[in-house]
Amino acid sequence: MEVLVATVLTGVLTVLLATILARAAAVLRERSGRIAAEHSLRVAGAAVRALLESPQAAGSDLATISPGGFLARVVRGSGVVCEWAGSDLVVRHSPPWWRAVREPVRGRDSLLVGKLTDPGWITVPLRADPRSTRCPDGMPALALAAALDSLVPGTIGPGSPIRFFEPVELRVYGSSGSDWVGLRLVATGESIQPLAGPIARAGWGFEYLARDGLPALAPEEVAAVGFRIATPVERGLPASVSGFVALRGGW
Amino acid sequence: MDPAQNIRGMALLLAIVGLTSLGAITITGFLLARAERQAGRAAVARVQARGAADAALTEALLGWPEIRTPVAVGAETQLVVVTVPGPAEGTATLRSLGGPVFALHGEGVRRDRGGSAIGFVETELLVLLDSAGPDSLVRPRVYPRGWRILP
Repeated sequence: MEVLVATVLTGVLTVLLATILARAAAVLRERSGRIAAEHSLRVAGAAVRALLESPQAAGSDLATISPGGFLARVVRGSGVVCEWAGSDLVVRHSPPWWRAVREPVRGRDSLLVGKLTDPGWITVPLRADPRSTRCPDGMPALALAAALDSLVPGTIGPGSPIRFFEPVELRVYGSSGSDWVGLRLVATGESIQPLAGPIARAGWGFEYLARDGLPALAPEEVAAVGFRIATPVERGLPASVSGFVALRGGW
Repeated sequence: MDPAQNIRGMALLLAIVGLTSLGAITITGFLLARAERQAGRAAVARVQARGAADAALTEALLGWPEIRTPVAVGAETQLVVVTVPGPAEGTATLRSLGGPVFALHGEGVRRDRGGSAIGFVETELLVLLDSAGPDSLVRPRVYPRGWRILP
């Protein structure tokens, strides 16, 4: 009789323990999946904001727009001109003057040079790889080859702000049966690279608003971009993030 | 050996295995939750730091006495220090670039109780100083496309 009771109790306890373990493992798996999904959303949302915040509202920084993505010119670095020598712009190349995520590359980057008179920016290609040099005051500098020969003297010069940028495409694409958020550096000719995902089918969308709040019909009208990204999770509702990014390059 | 001792030994083994499994699951869940909390806290801290930097720049745009404008190339003057909810501290510093264009450098930092920075943001706003208000303060004019988050 004692053996029977012990066996039954052991069986009950074993079933109970197995149930607890199975449920705990399922909850843990679901929670891990949700954390991974939320991480994907954070990465995707941060990328959208990082690409869109600096462009100027109603400017020409958005080249193409569609509900599935956009192509923007993204600033990779900034500095200040210390000398304009012929077609070379000599730019201070030490902190805090030079702030860049990487060095400029010929064929990939273009330059925005700020005018001292009639404030605004001149867009020119970078015609050669940058080379190290010195400013007239001896500070380390980079010489950037730019086609600025025809400019009126005084338009740019010491103190002109300078930026370099490259076109970047952000869009959703399908791979291995799932949708992913991808980035493509257009000038390098590379294929699109995964940034975050997988995201839910039809879980991605952009809307483009003009200054008056109505849908923008052309890239140069865009003043704010709304986005929504959803990722599938194993159980329950999909995790999603949505928001608006105001293009505020002009403050 | 007494058979009853064998049964008790088995129960002990089962209990140890069960408790170990539950402990592993609990610790894993705890670590995941902590990692998630830290990631969330860092994101919030960055937003607060960003708000502080923006607040400092906005206040700087109200103007300053002309004597505070730096003259030498590369010279800097700290114009504003603000504290916003978080608490996060924002500063705005004016730097001469060597021409008519100046850089307003906004910096926001959110610290934890120990004083360590857990969120930090730097922004830059290019301005022109070619206008003055009726109260003789320098009124900066924002340079077109002059704002950006610094890497």
